[in-house]
Amino acid sequence: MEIGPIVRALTRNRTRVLLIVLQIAITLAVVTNAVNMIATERTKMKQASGFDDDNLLWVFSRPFADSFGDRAFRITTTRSDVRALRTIPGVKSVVNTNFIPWQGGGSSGEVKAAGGDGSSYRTQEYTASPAFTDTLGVKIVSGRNIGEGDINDEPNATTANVIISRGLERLIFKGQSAVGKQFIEPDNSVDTIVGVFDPFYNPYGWPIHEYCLVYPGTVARNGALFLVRVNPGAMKSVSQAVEKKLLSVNDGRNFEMRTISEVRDKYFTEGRIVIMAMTAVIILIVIVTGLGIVGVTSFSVTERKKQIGTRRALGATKSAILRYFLMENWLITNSGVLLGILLAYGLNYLLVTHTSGVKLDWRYLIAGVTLLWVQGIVATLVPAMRAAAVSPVIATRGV
Amino acid sequence: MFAYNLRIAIKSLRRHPLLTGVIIAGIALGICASTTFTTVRHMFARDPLPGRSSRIFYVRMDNWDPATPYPDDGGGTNPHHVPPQVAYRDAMELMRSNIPVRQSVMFAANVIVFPEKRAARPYSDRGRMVFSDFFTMFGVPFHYGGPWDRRADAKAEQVAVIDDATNQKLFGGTNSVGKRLRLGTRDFTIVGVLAPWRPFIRMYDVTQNFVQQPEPIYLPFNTAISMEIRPGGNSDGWKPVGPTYRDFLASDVDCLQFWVELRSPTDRASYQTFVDNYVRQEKTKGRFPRPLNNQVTSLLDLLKEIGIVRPAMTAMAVMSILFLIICSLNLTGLLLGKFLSRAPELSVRRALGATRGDIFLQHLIECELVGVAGGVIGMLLSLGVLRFIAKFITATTVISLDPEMILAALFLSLVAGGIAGLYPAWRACKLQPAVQLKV
Amino acid sequence: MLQMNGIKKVYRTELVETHALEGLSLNVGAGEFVSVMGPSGSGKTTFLNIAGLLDVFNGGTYLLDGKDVSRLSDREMSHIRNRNIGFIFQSFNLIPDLHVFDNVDVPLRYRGLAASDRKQRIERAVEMVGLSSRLRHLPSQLSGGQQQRVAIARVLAAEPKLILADEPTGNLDSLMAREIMDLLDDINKQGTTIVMVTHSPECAARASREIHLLDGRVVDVERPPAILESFKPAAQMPSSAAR
Repeated sequence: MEIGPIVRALTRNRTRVLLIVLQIAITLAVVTNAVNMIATERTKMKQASGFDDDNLLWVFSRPFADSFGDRAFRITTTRSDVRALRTIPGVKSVVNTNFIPWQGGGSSGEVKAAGGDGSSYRTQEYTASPAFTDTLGVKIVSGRNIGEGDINDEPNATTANVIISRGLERLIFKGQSAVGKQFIEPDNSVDTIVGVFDPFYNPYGWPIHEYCLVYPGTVARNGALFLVRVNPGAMKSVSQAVEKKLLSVNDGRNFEMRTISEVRDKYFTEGRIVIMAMTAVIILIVIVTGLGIVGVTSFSVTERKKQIGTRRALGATKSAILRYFLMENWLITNSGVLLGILLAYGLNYLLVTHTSGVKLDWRYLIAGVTLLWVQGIVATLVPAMRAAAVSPVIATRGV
Repeated sequence: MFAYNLRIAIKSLRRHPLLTGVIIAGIALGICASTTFTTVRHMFARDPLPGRSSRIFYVRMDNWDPATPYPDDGGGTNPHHVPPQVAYRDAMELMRSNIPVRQSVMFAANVIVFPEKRAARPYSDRGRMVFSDFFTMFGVPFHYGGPWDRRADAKAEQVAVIDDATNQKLFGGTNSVGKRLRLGTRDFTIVGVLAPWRPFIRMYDVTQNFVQQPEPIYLPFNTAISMEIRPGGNSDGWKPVGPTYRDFLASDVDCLQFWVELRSPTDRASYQTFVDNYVRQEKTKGRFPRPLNNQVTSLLDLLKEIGIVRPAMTAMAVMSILFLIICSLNLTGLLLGKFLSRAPELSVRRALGATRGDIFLQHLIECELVGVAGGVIGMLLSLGVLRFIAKFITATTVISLDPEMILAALFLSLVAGGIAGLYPAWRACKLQPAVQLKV
Repeated sequence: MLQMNGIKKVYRTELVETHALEGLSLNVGAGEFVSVMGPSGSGKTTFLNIAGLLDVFNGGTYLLDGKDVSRLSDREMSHIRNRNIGFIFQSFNLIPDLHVFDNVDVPLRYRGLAASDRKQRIERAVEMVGLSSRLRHLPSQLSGGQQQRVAIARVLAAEPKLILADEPTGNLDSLMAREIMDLLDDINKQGTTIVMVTHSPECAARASREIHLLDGRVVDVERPPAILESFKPAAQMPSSAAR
């Protein structure tokens, strides 16, 4: 088949061709950048916390009864709570801690290495019972875990045995083992590191996502907080049983509960919206552009019926007609694609400089071009087949 | 003539229902997408306090560690490296100034509500501890009663303002002004009930989850302090703090939001001087070890500083507008084909005396019809999508189309229909009657 | 009614110039019934397009009803077409989407007549062509002859001074062709000028005068062949004598 005549025919229908070319170009630019945005968000969302997120339940007990005004009472009740929660079938482990994964923040403080160069390091700091590692599903990689014996709830204590995340160990001790080393707190109290755990990732307002220091202790001052790790599949039954169980320990309080998956979803709200929206945009764009190609090709078939009939009368086979229209569309698609590649990079440049966009991955361009080719063929096929079905008789008819 | 053209246009649209459907659906999708995402962006970007925002200022003072500046998240959202909140003892000193017309330091904390009814269980709810000026400064609407007065602030009276939902829950929606409300260990008198109020941005506290619903319960700040209620939410400190409430009040822990209303730029300048002078004076006592870095920031500047309009929203708005452009191009192509395939009829009309203007008008009307039909459908779709997104962001359906956006969407659909139709209509009216007639 | 003097029409494409009319001159008097004949490519179509103000010309003068139309705007030409000229086409050119009433209504609409006036004109015109029972039929539901009669009704309703007919019977069988020609005769008798382009000698013979075109020129204005003249009904002779 000769391309020359097709091109010459196209240049005679300049506007219509230009419209489709533009549409395909913008489609390519939008689709590739949308895929790029989706991929960027997915990468962010793939970031693992290192915890058993899917099987974690956060429980918050908010007391209103006067008896909770007493610190000792709060502490003993909290301990009873932990024991009670452990008896619920399906519960694997329970920790009393003020740490909540994926809420986008937490508590932090600054520490100095004893005998170090005097520089302070900011790190996330949480208080927890020894079940912290078991409940989150992280491992002690060196030294030992904190134990019941390390817990000292005395507010004026000046020493503590602590565990830290491996990220913090690397930050401060640069490859040396942290076990046995000491931190000096701003109030001059001293923490002795007894163990290092891994992994740990919790997004924070500041770049301290992987740094964590855990004090052994009871969290009960403004209500008691627990993380409950359940056996796979037991989340529903456990969360239904929690309130009743804790009320049986003490009914002078209310409860709040959330699964860590919910907390995590909320943290990634923006990313999820971007993914959903851009997916919708891609699907709709492909449909709209596809319908546009179907429509425009249909019109050009109707318009050229007589010409097609004449070609048929002059001996063109059906498949030659089909090929003619497919080839015509492929040429148009390719012009659109060439322009679209420029537009895609242009749009990406704007998104990178003016928003939080990430540089366009060229592989998405390849995918986008392939998609447009397939779309072009599919969308042209129906009207092209209609064209092929035009009877040669039409040539001799007077319209 | 217009009516006749309208009739021809409708007839033409009804003659090809499938094509018309495709065209309208295309425009509807384009309008829906662009309206939805520009609205989402608009919800964050618009002035949360029109008319007042330029007079409302947020006050921050740098009382941070001399060794390291207040950290940034790396995203440039705290260009001044200043702690986002202030400490109690400084707030109390600043509140002495009479430069601001109104001012309020505030914090959020949970309070335990004991309903009157014996059967109802006590529950914990979010409260905000404010000065009476807060309500006027932030345009808080009242249904019953009003704010407490400044004397109640000064004397730490046990008065409370509750929101509409709480009033429904506790008092069945009746006027509860004057009624008693037990909060924690004390009895309060209700002085005001809010009208339903849901600003999209909780502009008076953007230090955390600023799309959250305003608090249901409001108490005088000084009363809350006297009850030893500790601020919930974020708190920043770099120095050790003792365990007692007294220790907390005397500390440098930054956990309160401080707002002032200033009449004029002159007042703003003198207020800045006032804050600077206060900090200089404290420096002589060994506090505020860092270089002078006090920020008196207008509400809108603050929102800009913390990056309330997420870049992703802008990106999505851009993408959705490009989508609308694609839909318009698509429309142009389809209309062009449609109009030109009608050339014989148009030649007859021209031969029978229709002017170019008649033909142009007839086709433009057809384009605008599909444009507006698509626009209206798109907007309805957009309402649905927005409800869905709102559920996602705020767990409520607070995002909706304000009149501004509805007008914008309608205008957009008219423009899209017009621009998309202009060229095809022009081509149609340029058809020479002679060329097309089979003579 | 229609005075053309030295009319030239050149079609330009990228490659060639085609001279469709080369100084065509002819007069048609008010009330005349003139047929225009000529082989393919002789300029009949171009002549009709220019006569009907459907197309512009490149040289010469054209007075329509005494008015020079060479400098008219498109809008003015549209108005003249609408009020003074009626077209009858070989392929009828009814608008397929519109039923009979609405088709006849089209030129009246562009004239902006009141609804009652339009209705009256339409019903009268349709009655004259004998299709009163088919007012709500679509063109596709009518026979060829009936369609052409609707086209004629469309002309009648507009009450033009000049009717331009292009092979009005070209797509019709002989019986129907005769009906249509009778109808045109009647209209002419009521004083409307008719210019008809045709291939058919029988049809041409019904006219009071024949004009022959060849290569864009009138070759012989005053030569109705003698044989044919003798077949003409005597009643039509006076009109051919006008002017």
